[in-house]
Amino acid sequence: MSAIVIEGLGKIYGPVTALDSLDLHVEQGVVFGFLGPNGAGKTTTLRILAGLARPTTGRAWIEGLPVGPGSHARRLVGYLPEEPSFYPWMRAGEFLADLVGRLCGMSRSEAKARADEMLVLVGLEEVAERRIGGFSRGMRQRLGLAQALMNRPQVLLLDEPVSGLDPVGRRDILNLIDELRGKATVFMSTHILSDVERICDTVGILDYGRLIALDEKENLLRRYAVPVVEVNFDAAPETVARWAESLRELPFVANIQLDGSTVRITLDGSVQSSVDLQQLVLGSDLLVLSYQHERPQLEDVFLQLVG
Amino acid sequence: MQTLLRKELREQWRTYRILVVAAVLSLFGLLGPLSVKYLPLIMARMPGVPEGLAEVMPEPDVAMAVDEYVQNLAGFGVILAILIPMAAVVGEKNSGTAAMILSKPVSRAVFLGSKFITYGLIFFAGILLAGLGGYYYLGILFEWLKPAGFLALNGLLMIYLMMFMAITLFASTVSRSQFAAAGISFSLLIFISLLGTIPSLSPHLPTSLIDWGCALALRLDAEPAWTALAVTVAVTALAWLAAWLILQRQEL
Repeated sequence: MSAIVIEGLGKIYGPVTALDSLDLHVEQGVVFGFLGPNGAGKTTTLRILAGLARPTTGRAWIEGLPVGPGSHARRLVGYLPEEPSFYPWMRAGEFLADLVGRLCGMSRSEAKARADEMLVLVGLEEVAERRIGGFSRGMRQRLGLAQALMNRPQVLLLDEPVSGLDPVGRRDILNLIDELRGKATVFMSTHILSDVERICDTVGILDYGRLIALDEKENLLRRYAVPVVEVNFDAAPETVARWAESLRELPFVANIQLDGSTVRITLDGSVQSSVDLQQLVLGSDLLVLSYQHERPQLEDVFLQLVG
Repeated sequence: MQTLLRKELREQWRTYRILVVAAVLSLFGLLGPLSVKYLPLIMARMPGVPEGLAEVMPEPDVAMAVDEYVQNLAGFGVILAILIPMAAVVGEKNSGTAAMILSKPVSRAVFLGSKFITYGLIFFAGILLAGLGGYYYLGILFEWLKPAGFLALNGLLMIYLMMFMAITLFASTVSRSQFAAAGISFSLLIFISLLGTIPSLSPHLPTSLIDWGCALALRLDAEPAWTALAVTVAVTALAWLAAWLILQRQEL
């Protein structure tokens, strides 16, 4: 069974179509990266899944339960909004134990134990007795993640989970999300493509409210990434430039960039083009210091699809 | 409900709203009988007061003191009943805490209900303190009233204030800022006051509860304002119900 099922989900705000017939299935236990430019409809989707907004059309289910305000699906979900908000007068520990834990139906002792566990997990145990009003943005983000994890959710909905975090905080949170793989389904939206590349199994790309790509990350990279070969010669830059210019006319070469004795060649994507280029390099009578196929980046895929 | 109720009470305590309500209501509860008793004496000794004015002022009695007590509490109580809950819902919606809480398995009725009950409890405590102080001073400065009548007066006052709390909670649910919420409530207060100027309507309006309460406290013969009581309870219930129905439909 899919952890998240979205069928024909649409959301219209006045003249703006935020979501346009979104269909999506997210398998259990995966880390799903939900990508898209600003205003693509990512946050709207997450808010609908969290039961905070209603779709104009279509429906969605989490673990087989329909989502919406008042839905029982909320028992299975942990939700971290883009900018988590708290009661400034509350202390971090009491927020998790006395409020979130108890709202999730835990006994007092269970909620306290789980809150302590979560504070350690997100690195806030030292400030458990401090008022949240004095927390930095990074600390609030960590506390936001802690509250989302309090009920041991089967589905974790994360809206830009590492925004506002310093590099160490980002690494910690990404590691934490990575550790949830197989234990919970993580549905995260983000702008940071390298993070998605690092931890997500499956990627969906949204643009103008429509899902324009959905696949496992590796398939997506294979399908959309542009093959680039970087060759570094042990030769004078002018000689390398002359050789490179001779490639421009070839039909399988899409682009050539020169940087001293290094040539960066963008191919048309066919397997044969790589073989042909390899032969041309070997036949150049120039000494090759390195020949490297650049690893396709998710950024290339993203820019190709929405750029 | 218990969890949110505890959170609301803790919030009111930590943000000193409980203390403000208790202090203001107690102060004005005490000032009622004290001012009626001592105002003529103070005026008689004040320089610049025209000679003979103190003599023409009516002799203070228990009816005047009860009237002053209830006018103080109703006036300042209504202001507090508007100012204290005005940010209850809109503040949480704007800050994002409502979304955080309502993404958990908790109903919107409980979210709203816990706020209403909390404000009710705070005002109950405030009126209790004011009532105890006021009753004591009425007793020692004028005469000891029958406790049941005085209790009935404060009960009716509480019902009257609860109506404004419910209206403000409704306004806080429908408006986009806390000041707009307060504006809606004050407008309704003015509207009710204007309606009170129509003689045929006046006995059926919430303000009649105050007159009825005074009559009960002073053991005077007065027509019971059952219709006013029913109208007040109905407005309270309708305001709460409307707030709940609207919140149910709102997106956070």
